[in-house]
Amino acid sequence: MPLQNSSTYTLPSSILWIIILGFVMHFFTVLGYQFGNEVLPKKLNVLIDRYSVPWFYQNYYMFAPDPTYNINSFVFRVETSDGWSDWEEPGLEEMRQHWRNRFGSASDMYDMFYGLSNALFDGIIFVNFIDNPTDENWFSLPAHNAAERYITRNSAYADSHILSFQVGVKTEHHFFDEDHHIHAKEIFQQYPIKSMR
Amino acid sequence: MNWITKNLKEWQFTLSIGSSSELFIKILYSVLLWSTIKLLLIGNVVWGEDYFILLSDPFSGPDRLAMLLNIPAVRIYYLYFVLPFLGLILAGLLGFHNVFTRIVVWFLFVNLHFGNGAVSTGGHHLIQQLLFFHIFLFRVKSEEVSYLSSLGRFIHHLAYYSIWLQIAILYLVSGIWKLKGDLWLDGSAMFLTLSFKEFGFPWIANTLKENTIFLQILTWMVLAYQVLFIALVWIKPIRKWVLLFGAAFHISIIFLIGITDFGLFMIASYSIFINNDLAEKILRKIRLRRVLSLSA
Repeated sequence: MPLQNSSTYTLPSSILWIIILGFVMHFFTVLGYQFGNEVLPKKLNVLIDRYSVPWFYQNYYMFAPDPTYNINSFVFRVETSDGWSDWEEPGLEEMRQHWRNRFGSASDMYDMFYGLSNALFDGIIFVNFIDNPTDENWFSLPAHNAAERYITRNSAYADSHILSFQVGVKTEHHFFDEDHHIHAKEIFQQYPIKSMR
Repeated sequence: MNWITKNLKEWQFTLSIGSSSELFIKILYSVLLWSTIKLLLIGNVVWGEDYFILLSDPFSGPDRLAMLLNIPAVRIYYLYFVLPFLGLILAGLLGFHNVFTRIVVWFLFVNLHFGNGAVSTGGHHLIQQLLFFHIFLFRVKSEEVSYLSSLGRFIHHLAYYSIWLQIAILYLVSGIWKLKGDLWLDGSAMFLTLSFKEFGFPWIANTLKENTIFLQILTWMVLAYQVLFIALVWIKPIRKWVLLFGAAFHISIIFLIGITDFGLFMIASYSIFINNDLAEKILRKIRLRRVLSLSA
């Protein structure tokens, strides 16, 4: 129900349009951030980025343009006074728990392992572009440092005296054959052994 | 033009969407409560010192305030972000929120969200935007008559429809980017996604060896839904069916693809489309239950 005497307090239309313009400008930058690179002048894109990132940053590219063909998994092994452990895949147990309960925090733990796996995979590509890479090139990668943090702080070996460790990435690649049947291939790439002595 | 002028006037005098907005805030806060408590159980890894994600701290000046938890020295204090956030969310669920609490909720969410990009989904990005707009959902009593209350009601309406538009933009962006690929158009996207046990269940991944017409149709329906949502949601007679399809799609994302946060955040965001009368009825029932449980 319209209020009594409320029309006495009608705001000037210029004020209303200024407020509307504020909202319109906001959405212009949102759309400009998503699609502007192809259509807007570069200087305007810089301004839009400046406004949008970080407070209004938006990323909606999940499974777009296409779903992934590869899934990476982080693995590691550790040398203690008892010798070398087997290769361990810490994300796997989290994945199993995620299958049992989709509303728990195992899904988030898996996501963090997945992020680390992808960073390690990208790290391998990065180092392979370096001529004659040294161990230092591998060990200075942010992904390797993150993996080391996990092994030395969070893994079952965190309280052990670790002599050395090695990380790796298993990649499951899915592809279609000519009949459009799906197949999977797996590759296993290892980083060099890092001594903690 | 008359229609626009009429609405611009009406938006100042009556807040005909107040209950919709209030219910939306309650539902959004409920999902945020679940999501935050779930992450708090592993808080030291997610936001604290035991992180093993790659931190990024690229900003300077005021922008750095958005990514405080990306500064390793700040992560030790992550509870100072999480606990006030939970407190304000709980207070909001009980009906205690105002523009200042809503600003703080948005600010803390931005930091918690950027504090761990690995657990972020498109749903988190959407919620960040919706929480920004929810700041402007001013609660102006119907009997209040002043220039300030007219302004409050007017901005409330704009923010309310901005939330609609923001949800539609999510689908549009996602849909247009999918159109740039091959697998959505040829109907293989759903098949490829489900072939990874990580995005489904082992029994699904092991059973599916070739694409089916069912999965193909589902792929195209999802693509059409995302691209057309921005137009369809404004058409009142079909809105309910559009949203029901979307809700079913997001429930399937939770249980088949396994991206629970995204699915729940999307379904929660749909509450903004609940009409005011129904929202009022739901809120009245919630209030009655609370009164009954308090008096019991």
